[in-house]
Amino acid sequence: MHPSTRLIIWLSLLLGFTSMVYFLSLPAHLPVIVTCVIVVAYAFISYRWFARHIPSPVGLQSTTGESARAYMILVAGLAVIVYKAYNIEKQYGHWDAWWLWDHHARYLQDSTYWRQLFTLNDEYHPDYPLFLSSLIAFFWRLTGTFNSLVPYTFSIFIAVVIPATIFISLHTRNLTIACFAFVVFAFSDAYHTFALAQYADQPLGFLYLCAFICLEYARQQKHLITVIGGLLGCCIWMKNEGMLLSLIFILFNARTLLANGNATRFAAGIIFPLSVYAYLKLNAPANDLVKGQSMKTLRLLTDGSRYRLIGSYFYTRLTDHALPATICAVFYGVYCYAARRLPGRNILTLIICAIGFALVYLLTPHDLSWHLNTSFDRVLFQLMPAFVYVIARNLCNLRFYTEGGQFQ
Amino acid sequence: MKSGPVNLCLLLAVVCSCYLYTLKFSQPGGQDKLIAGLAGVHQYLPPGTSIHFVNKVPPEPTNSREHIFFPDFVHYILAPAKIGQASKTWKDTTLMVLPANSTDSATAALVAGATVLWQNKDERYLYLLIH
Repeated sequence: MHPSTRLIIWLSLLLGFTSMVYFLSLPAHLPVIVTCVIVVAYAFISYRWFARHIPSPVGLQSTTGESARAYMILVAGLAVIVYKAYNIEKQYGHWDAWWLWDHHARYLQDSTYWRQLFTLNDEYHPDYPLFLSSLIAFFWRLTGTFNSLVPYTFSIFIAVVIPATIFISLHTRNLTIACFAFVVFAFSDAYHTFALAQYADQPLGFLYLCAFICLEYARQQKHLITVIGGLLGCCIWMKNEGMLLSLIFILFNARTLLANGNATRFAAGIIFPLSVYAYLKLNAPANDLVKGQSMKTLRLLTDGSRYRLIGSYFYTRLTDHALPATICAVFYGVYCYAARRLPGRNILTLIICAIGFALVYLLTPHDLSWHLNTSFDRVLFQLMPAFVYVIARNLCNLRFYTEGGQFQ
Repeated sequence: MKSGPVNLCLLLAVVCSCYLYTLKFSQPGGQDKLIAGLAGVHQYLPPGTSIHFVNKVPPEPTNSREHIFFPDFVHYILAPAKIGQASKTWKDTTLMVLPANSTDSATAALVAGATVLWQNKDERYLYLLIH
């Protein structure tokens, strides 16, 4: 794993830990300065742990010429992201940013009345996990203001590190494909719109992407299994969908994550976030989707029009927002068919995640068109970073053969 | 690629974006003006308080996103005080927002019988907290 990828993953886990510790400090009535001390101590200890247990492999260094080209692509891509962010960003983000996440943060920055959050109406979704809100609340309380720069900084950090992490992770394997994956994000208006909306969807997508990157090295570096546990725990603490994504991830990689004594390592990573999530769920009201289920929900499963509507959304949104990634996925699918092999396990994991989302829509107690209209785009972008990475990673391994020999 | 320059590039990208963000939004926009207009009401609304909200701002200009967001943004600004159901007339403790050009007689008619706890006026709105 590239040291920069390692640093980004460490930072993501640090932000997740900060959010969880701050949330736990509220019922414990800890002064914010004590939370700061705990966070700084964790940052120091975890950084040492990362440096000691997750070394960078020596065999994956690129040549000097390739390295120079990689720097140029990285700098150019980041410049495009900064430029596009400037044009697209809104001060308070999109609707849900201030209506949900920042609104929740306003409650959480108050150490006495934070529980009032759980008495809000269902339309404010008081059951939602609090990674983002708690993190924003921590910095708001620390600075003593409700500065909109705090949520923006987190959103731009995510907007920058998603394409950068994919590029950094792949550039030593195939610079062309790494560059293409970088460009897919850097030049996409849809990506910037959702990344800078200040929602929790893109951070969730980023954490899930990091879990896939760590998985690749987990067989050689067993300590990464703890990191994967932490990342999946942060996914759960980020959004309720994170639970679905994490369960599917664990299911498909149970042998790597849980067998041969790895279960303890995995549990060490996930136990703390899962406990905080459980504590939240004990205090928060039930989720509106869960509450809305009844016997008539079963009838929704046999309604063909709902399947058609969901299918049409998948088709139109994939072609509208992610055409280059979709073309690559189709290309890879054709390759798998021609080579008579199954797609990789990671791709199957993401396909099952997409089917899982489709099932949630199928069973939604809300009006289906409204639910799809208000959430489908952002849900799609939860899977997009991991999807682009996994497809690009598989394309790095492709070799095309002609009669004259091999070319790539 | 070496990690030092890569990390520096990423840091610069984030810092530059934040700097550009502060430049872009250095002048207060509509939402900032709303926050400033309601800044003084917080001292009358301890966290956890629940009040009513009456919105008397006419729906214009049509299709204005700001207008659509307006009542919900007020909810956000007042948190952790809570706004209960929106009502058409005042009851108990109520925050009332009127156009800034409302006449005194019209305002007096709307708040007849109530005690004005706090009021503020900016270029667009008149804010009244009444009981």
